[in-house]
Amino acid sequence: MPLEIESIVLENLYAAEETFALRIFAPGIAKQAKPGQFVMLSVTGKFLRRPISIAAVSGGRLTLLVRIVGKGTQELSQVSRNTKLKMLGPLGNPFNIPTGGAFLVGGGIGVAPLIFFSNLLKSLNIEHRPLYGEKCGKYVISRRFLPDGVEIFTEDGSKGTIGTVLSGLPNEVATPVYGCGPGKMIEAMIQQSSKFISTVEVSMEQRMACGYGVCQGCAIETKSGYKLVCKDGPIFPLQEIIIK
Amino acid sequence: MKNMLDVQIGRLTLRNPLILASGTAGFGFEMENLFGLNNVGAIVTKTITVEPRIGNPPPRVCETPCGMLNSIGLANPGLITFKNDIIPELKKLDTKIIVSVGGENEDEYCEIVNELRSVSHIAAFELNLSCPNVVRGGINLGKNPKIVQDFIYKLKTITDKPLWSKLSPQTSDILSLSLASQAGGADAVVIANTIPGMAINIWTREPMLGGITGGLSGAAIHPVAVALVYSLRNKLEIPIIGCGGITKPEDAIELILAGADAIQLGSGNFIDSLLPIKTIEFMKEYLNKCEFNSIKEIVGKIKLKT
Repeated sequence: MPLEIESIVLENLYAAEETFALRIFAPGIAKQAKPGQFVMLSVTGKFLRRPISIAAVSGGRLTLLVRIVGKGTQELSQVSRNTKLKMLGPLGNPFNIPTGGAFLVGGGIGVAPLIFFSNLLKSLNIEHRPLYGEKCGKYVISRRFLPDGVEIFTEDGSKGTIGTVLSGLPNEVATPVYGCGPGKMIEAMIQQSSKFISTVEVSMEQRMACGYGVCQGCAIETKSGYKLVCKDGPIFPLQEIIIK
Repeated sequence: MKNMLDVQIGRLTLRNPLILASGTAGFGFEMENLFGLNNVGAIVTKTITVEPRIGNPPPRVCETPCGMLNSIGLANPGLITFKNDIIPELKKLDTKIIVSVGGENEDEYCEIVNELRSVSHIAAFELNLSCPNVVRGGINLGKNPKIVQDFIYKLKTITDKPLWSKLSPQTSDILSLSLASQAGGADAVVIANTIPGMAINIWTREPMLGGITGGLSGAAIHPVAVALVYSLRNKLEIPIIGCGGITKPEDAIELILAGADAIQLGSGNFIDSLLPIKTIEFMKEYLNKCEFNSIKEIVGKIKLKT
């Protein structure tokens, strides 16, 4: 059951260029949270809350990795220790847990929910390969936040292997794939879908108002009609997704 | 002291004047998970239309200064699904259920009211005469006082249930439309709905909403709602339900002082899902602090310098 709470910022840490990590005390939410779920976070001076994926859970703390993409996230980047943040969560559906191996594919800040997922799979002794790509090295998130064994890709080769994150996938992928990233990455996954033999789940984004399905504001178009990212997602089967 | 918050909206008694506004509370059960609906006076469902509506193309919401725009487009499962699948669920909710009715023309409103008139746990119908996000019906039906009066009169012949007339703030004469609603037999007016608005991303030159224009809600429109309610104060015999931009408990008291017998809380739910409960608690606190015995005592009690 989602909780409406006043959480407390424990730390606001530099994670990469234009990217910060909030460590937040929110035990009730942390206890329930599953990888793929998100929280709605109030931002000073902004009307709507911002949906932010949960990047890690440890004890009663949540880690949220946030990239500055607009005024809301810019404002959020300024919060300091002991700031109280109104928060609703956890919300949305989690990734389905694979039985055997898996590939986790994170593009840009989309890596956030996959860090949490990788941590869970590791604790369950489920073999998996976390892949993480950025445009260039300065955006690559500090290793302290990333899962062990993560393979890093940059499009300009300034860090890790040169290429997009999808170039890290074999020509034929027999295990489930879990992806989160920008529209272009999801689009490329759709184009390459013939290489995926098993299931592919992707996390989708949309501007959101309520976060729990009542306002119908966060609709995206899918092959079975409009779906709500907050309630029907944010995790969707790749074959359902339409990118325009 | 126990019943200091109960209010009378026509024949309907609500345990408190806080109503969840249409389109911001789904069908109620979605919110049951967040807080018990037994706390609120009533909920107004998402607007129902005869045929299912998939809604407007995304994006459907965007942030604006002190508020938001929405262009949902009355997405709803349609009358038949509502009757067969949703109404049985509504029976489980411990609050008054008001069904919001929409349509492209008068006949569609009549069809819905006729189909649902004998459903016992529907406490009233709210006629959505003010949705800005649909091509036909909505706001266009609620523009002409004569049409509004005849239309409500016609609906009154179909049902014994109370009818609330939800009007748009985008009118040059809210009084005429309210009086017309009253003359037609409406049991209350709901003042008001979202205000038509638009936002453009200047870098992509694209509208921020898939539906291009939308309805503005949130704190930005609260003073508009207060002024509209105030303009109707002492001019109607039927109750006024104030609706617009309540984002903190004090806003609800402000609307009541301006003349609202009850209030609806909408987008404020999105920024704090506990706002309804906090607002109800604040109402009690306010009455105690200001030494009133009942919320009814403060309706329209704005102090004006003579």
